[in-house]
Amino acid sequence: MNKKNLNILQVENLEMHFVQKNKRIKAINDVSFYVHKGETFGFVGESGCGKSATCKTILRLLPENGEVVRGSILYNGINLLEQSEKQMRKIRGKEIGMIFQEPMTALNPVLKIKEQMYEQFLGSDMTEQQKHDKAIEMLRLVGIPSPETRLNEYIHQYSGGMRQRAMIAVTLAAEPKLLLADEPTTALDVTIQDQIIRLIEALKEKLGMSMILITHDLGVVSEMCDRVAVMYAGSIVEMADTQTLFAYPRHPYTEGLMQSLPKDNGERGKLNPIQGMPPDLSRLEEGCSFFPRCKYASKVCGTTVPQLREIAQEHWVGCHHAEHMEHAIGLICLEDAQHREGRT
Amino acid sequence: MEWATDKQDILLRVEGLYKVFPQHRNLLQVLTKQPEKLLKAVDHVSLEVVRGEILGLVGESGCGKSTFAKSMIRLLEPNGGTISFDGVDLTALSREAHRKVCKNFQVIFQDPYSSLNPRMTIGKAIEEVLLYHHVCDKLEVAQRCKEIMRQVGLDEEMGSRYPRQLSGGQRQRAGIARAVALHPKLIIADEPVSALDVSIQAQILNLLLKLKRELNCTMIFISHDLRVVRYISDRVAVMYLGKIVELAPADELYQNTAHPYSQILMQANPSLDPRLRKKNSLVEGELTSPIDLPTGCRFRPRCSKAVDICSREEPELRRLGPGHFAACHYISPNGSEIPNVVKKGTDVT
Repeated sequence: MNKKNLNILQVENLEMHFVQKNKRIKAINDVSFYVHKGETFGFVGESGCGKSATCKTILRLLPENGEVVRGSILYNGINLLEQSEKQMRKIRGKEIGMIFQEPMTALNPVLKIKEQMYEQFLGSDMTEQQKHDKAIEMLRLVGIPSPETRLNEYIHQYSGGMRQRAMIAVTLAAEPKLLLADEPTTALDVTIQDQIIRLIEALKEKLGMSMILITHDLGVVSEMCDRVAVMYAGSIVEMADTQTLFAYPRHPYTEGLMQSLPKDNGERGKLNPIQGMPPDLSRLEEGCSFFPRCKYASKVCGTTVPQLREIAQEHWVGCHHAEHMEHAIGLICLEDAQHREGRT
Repeated sequence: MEWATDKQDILLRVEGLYKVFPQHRNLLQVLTKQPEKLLKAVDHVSLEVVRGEILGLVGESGCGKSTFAKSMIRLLEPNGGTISFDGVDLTALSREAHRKVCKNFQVIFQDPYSSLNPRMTIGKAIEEVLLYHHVCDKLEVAQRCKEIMRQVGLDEEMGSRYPRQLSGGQRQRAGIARAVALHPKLIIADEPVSALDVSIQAQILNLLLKLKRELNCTMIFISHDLRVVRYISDRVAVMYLGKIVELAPADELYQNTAHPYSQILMQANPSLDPRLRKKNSLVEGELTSPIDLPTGCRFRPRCSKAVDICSREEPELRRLGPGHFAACHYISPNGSEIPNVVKKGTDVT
């Protein structure tokens, strides 16, 4: 894949299984992607498609039964899968930070926000005063009023939106170069979600971070992501820049996702949901994992797993019929002729 | 006041509905005789539901939309107000009499996992409803149960499974089956698709619309997803801190949003077009605590348009156009039409 030196993260052929007593759950199947410096890369897909598992694998935060079968995760050229636990501890937080969906479970309920913030400065030679100032600055940055008193409070004393802000402040206090955000706004109301989205965007710019955003909401993708990968049953099925993906979906699953959403313009036609349900990852059958639900499936789909192919510049699709998916309807319409020419 | 667009067949009329939750006082507060604080979840709300419509109810969490819907059918006992359902005054009924009429209104809950008995198979759970309300003969129950399951798109074999053995979408179908088993006149759907993935969500929305047509029932659809509410609803009511602040036909509300709070909701809703990406958030502040409400308009602390009168007087719902009502001083100081300043383009999302 191109522009190697511009990529902060490069994941190649990653495969991860959860091993249970009598079965293997293939959570990640041959996933390859890269994140450019400074961009927001989105993972979108339904629950259980492996988007969170991918992020946890990057940080090596998998539970004990999570087994990386093959692949490499290059962060600035270092393969994270080959690092010792001690070296990983230096990378987590400092280099790669992570924010979670539920701040109540991600932050420690018996430690004050202050103490959790100070943990981020472990190993640095900051004085007590500097730490204090930095912590106050972070809380102010994320828009928490009267940070001096809030610093000495516990997470349960914060309201929902404030909790999410506090977690962002704690994570960003270490000034990570890459931020993994796992459904950061899913549990929030739209108005608070809007505030948090703008906050993350502003901080990303200010600190010059790159970001991987996990979400199931195409609206959030459209608001935040530069490029996006659609995941299904542990594999990336389509990857492109956000506008291209929204205008020219080329994988039947991507099209299905978009057709399942009520439109912005209030159109009341019948929705066209994808039929059936996602497959059981411990019993993946031969061929394309979307085959049983796909309305365009042909014989080859049931026998051969489609590889992710570049059908236009930086537009990758894992479908045997990608070239014949011109009829797929996206969410937006680009009249820009140049854009279309550039693709052929 | 006439709430609906025309003189229509009103199924449910709620007037001045009031529901408070007393807040816990600690011992010191009791001893010093501090007054009990009240959380006004539903603050004198009036609403009419027209027979055959789908009424959407939107608002942020904690604005009282679920409490309002549940008080409407006395699933929660309201503290005041009157409810008239199909000509019957619900508030005047005894518990026993209420139980007899309550098969006319059923609820679909957000999380069917916690509303279905984990130790009862899906089939048994549906049969239980039928038996309890004596809607059919004992011998017919099994047959009827199968019909209902087919109607909501569940395989017959699912009847012998337990809720934990079903996927989220199937569980929601089971919850819906229980609600429609009695052919209710009114279904209250409380965030029925919020916990589901997009593709499953679309399946359930299609199912709800199909059932509504087949059973010819009325529905109150509660959700915080503005796009879903617009898609499914005929009329939409926006709630803020226990009050309805705007009520209008769905497309009218989304195209000519009048109340500043509704406008904020619309603007905050992420657009599906990456080219319309916003730079700054227009939303200020968080939901005010419903325990210590501000004087005057309850939206005032977050409102960018607030003026003097907003802190003194609480605005009442006023008519802005056919079926369009909003509670804001700013919009119609003389109760006339919507001024241009708040009128937005056709594309509001």
